[in-house]
Amino acid sequence: MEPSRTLFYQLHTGILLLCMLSVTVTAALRIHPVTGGISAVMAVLSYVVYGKGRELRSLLRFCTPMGGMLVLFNLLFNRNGVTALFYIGDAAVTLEAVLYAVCAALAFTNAVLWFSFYCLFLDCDRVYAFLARFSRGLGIVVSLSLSLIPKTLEKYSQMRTENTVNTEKAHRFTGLILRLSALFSWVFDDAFQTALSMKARGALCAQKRQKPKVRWHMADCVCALLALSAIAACFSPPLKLKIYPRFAGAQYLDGAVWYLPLLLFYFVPCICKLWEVLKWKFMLQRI
Amino acid sequence: MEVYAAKDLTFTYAGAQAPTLQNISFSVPENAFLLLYGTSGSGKTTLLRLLKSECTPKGKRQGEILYRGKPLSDLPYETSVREIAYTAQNPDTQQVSDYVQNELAFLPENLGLPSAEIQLKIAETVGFFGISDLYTRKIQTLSGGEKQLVNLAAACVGTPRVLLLDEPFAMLDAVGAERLLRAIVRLHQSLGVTVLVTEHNIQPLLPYLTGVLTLENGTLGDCLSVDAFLRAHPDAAPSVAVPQMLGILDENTSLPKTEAQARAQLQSTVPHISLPVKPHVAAPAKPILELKNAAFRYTRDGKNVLSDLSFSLSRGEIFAVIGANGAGKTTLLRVLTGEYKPYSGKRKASAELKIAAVPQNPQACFAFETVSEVLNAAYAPPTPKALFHLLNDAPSAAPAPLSAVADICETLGIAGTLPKNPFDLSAGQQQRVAFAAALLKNPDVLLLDEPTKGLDKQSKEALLPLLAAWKKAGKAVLLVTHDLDFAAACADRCALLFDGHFVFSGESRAFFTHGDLYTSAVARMFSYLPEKARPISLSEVQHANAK
Repeated sequence: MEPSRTLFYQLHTGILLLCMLSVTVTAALRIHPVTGGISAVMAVLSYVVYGKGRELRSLLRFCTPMGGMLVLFNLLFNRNGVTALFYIGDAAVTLEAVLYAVCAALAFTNAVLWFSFYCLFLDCDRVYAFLARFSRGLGIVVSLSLSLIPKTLEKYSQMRTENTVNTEKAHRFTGLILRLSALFSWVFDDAFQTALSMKARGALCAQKRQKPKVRWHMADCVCALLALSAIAACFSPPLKLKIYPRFAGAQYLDGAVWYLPLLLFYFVPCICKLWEVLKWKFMLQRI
Repeated sequence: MEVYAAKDLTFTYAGAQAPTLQNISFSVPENAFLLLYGTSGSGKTTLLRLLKSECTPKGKRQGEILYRGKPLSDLPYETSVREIAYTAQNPDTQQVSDYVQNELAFLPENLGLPSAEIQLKIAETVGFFGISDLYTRKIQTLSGGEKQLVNLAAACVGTPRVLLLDEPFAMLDAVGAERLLRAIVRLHQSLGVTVLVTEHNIQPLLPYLTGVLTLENGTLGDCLSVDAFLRAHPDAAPSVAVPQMLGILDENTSLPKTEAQARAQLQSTVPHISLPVKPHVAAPAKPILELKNAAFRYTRDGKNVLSDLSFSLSRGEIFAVIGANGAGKTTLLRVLTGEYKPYSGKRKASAELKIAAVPQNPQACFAFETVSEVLNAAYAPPTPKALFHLLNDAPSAAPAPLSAVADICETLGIAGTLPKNPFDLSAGQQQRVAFAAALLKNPDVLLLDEPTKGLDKQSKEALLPLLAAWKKAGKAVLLVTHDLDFAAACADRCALLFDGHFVFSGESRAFFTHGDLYTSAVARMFSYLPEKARPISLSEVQHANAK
C-alpha cells in the first residue's frame, strides 16, 4: 500500500517530525537490553506491517557490519566490568563489556531503523509545507536540499552506464575522480534549473502562507503526548542516561512506571495500523 | 495590441566576448502562435528567457522589451507569474515537488491564494489538461511526456496569457508529444493564449502556427507567414521537403502543412518512384555483442522490463532499437554494457571489446570547465598527476585542442565551443560534445542513447556521414531512439521494443514499410505505394529525384 494512504501518514507533519526526533533520540541514548530489545522488535514489526520489507533488508545489510564493528571495538578497548571471560594479552575481556557492546550495537541499529522508517512517511513536499508556515524561504531551501540526495543518487545511477563502458582498467582512479566532478557539476546545474523553475512559478511571491487545511486530530494529540513523555522518561532521574547500564536484577524495577511511555511510544506505528484495520473492519460490517 | 515588442535588443552573457543576441527587433501580436526557428546555439533559449523577467540570464542587456506597452522590467512579480508561463526543455529539472498534486499547488500557493481557491484552480487545471489519472502519482514515476504535460499544467494554474515553450517536444516520443501538443493547441484556441515556441521538429506544429521568427547567429529575420517561411526553408518539414525535392510544388497554391496533405498531393502526381538499388549485403559477420533470452527486472516482485530478449550486433552495422518512452530502451543499453546483469539468459561479449556510450543526458560526461579539456581527456585520458593539476589549477584559458579533437569538432560544427564551459552550451551543442567525446575514444561499439535529442536538422545531417564512416571502418553502432526519421536514414537493421521484447526485428526497409502508423514521415507520405517501391527516408527521395 502507498504510505500516503495510511492513517500513520495522515498524522500532522509536525507530530511526525517530533516523533521521529524523539524515537531516534530515545533509541540511540537508551543503551539498555530490555528497552533496546523491545525497540528493535517493534521497529522490525513496523516495517513488516507497512509492507516495507525490502527497505528493512537493505538497512539491515548496512547495520549488521556496522554493529559488528561496534562490538569488536568495545571488546578491544572496553576494560570495564568484573566478570572476566578471557584475556587478550594482559587485558581482560569482561561479560559486562560484551553485554554493553551488544546493547550499544542494538541502540545504533534501532536509531537507524526508526529514523529511516519515519523518513518513509516524511517526503520533501511535507517538509516544505510544514516549514513554509514559519518561513517560506526556509521551506524551499530545506526541501530543495533534501531533494538533492535522491537526485544525486539517481544521477549517479544514470552515469553508471557511461562509467561501466568508458573506463579502461588503467584509468580507473582518474575515471572515478572525473565521474565525481561531472556528477557534482551536473547536480548543481540541475538544482539551478529547478530554482529557476521555482522562481518562474512565483516562489516567495507572497510572504505569508495560507492557513493549512490539515487539522489536529485525536491521534496527533496522543502521539505528541507519547513522544514528549518518552523524552521525559528517557531523561528522568530513575532512568537517567547512564554510560554503563546496571545489570543487577532488582534495579530493573527502579521507577518501572517510567518505562511505560517509553515502551508504548515504540508501538505507535503498529497501533495506528491496528486501529486502521479495526476501523475498516467495523465499517465494512456496517455496510 | 502587441503582447511583446522588442527594440534593438542586444544581450551578452556575463564573461562572454561576443553578444548572443544582436540588435533584435520584433513584436508578438495578441493571440499569436509563433515559432522561433533557428539552429541550435543560435540564441533561441536566451531570447525566450529574456521574455520572462524571472528567468533572465546573467549578462548585459541593451535595448528595450515591452510587455503590453510597458517595460517588461516594470512588470510586478505577481503579474509576471500569473500572466507569463514558461517551460524549459528538460522536464526532469523543472519539478519542485514529489507529487503531481503538490506540483500543481505550488504556483497558486506561492501567490498566497486562499485554500479554497487553490483547490478550485487545481481542479480546473486537472480537468482542462485531462490529467486526473496522474493527479495522485509521484512525479518520479511519470514518463517524459507525462512530466512535460504536468510542467505545462503547473505553469498554467494561474491561467496565463502568454506561453513561452522551449523545445517542449525534444525529449518526447510521438505519443507524449501528441498529448502535449493537444493541450497547447487547446490553450491557444480555447483561451486565446499567445504562444511562442522553439522547436526543431516543426511538422506537428505547422497547422496551428500563425507566424515564424527566424533566428540565425543572434540576429532575427522578419516575422514570416508559415507559407513564406516554408518556401524559404522547404527542408524544415518533411511534408514540404518531399514534394519540393520531387519538383511538384505549385508556387500559386498553399503548401502542404500536414503529412496527409502532402500524401494527397503526392498520390495525384507521383504514381511511382524509383528507389536506389541497394548494394548486395554480405551475410552478417560473427556477432561481437550478444544477448540470448535475456530477462531483467528491477525488483524481485516487479514487472519484467526485458523478457526473453535475444539480440546480436556485428561489426560494420548500425542497429536501431525503437520504442516509446518507458519501453525499456535505456535498460537494454545497461544490460548490454554489462552494468545490469540479466536474471536469466546470457550476455556475450569478448573481454577486449571496447565500448563507448553517449548517455541520454550529455551532462554526465562534463567533468571539466571547458569543452576543450573534456574532449582532450576523452582522447588521451590524463594521468592522476595531470588530473590533479587540471582540477586544482585556477581557471585559465582553455588548452589547445589536440589535432584529432579539432578535426572532429570541425565536422560536428562545435569548433567555436572549445573554450566555453560545456554547461553554458545549448542542449544541441552539449549533445554533439558528448558524441564527439565518445568517438574520440575510438571504440569498437558505439552505444547512442537518444542521440538526436535537441539537435537541429543540420546537426542531425552531420551525424549521418560520421556514422556511415564509422560503420565502414568495421565498427558497430547501436542507437536507441524514438526519432524514426533519423533511424530510417541511418540504420541497417531495426527492432521495435515493446512489452520487454522485440516484436519486430529485421532489415530497416522491412521495418519502415511494414506498418503505416509507427514509421518514418516519408514512409507515411508514400504509404499509397506498394511496400517494395516505398521510400523511407529523404535520401531515398533525393536519389529518386536525381535519377
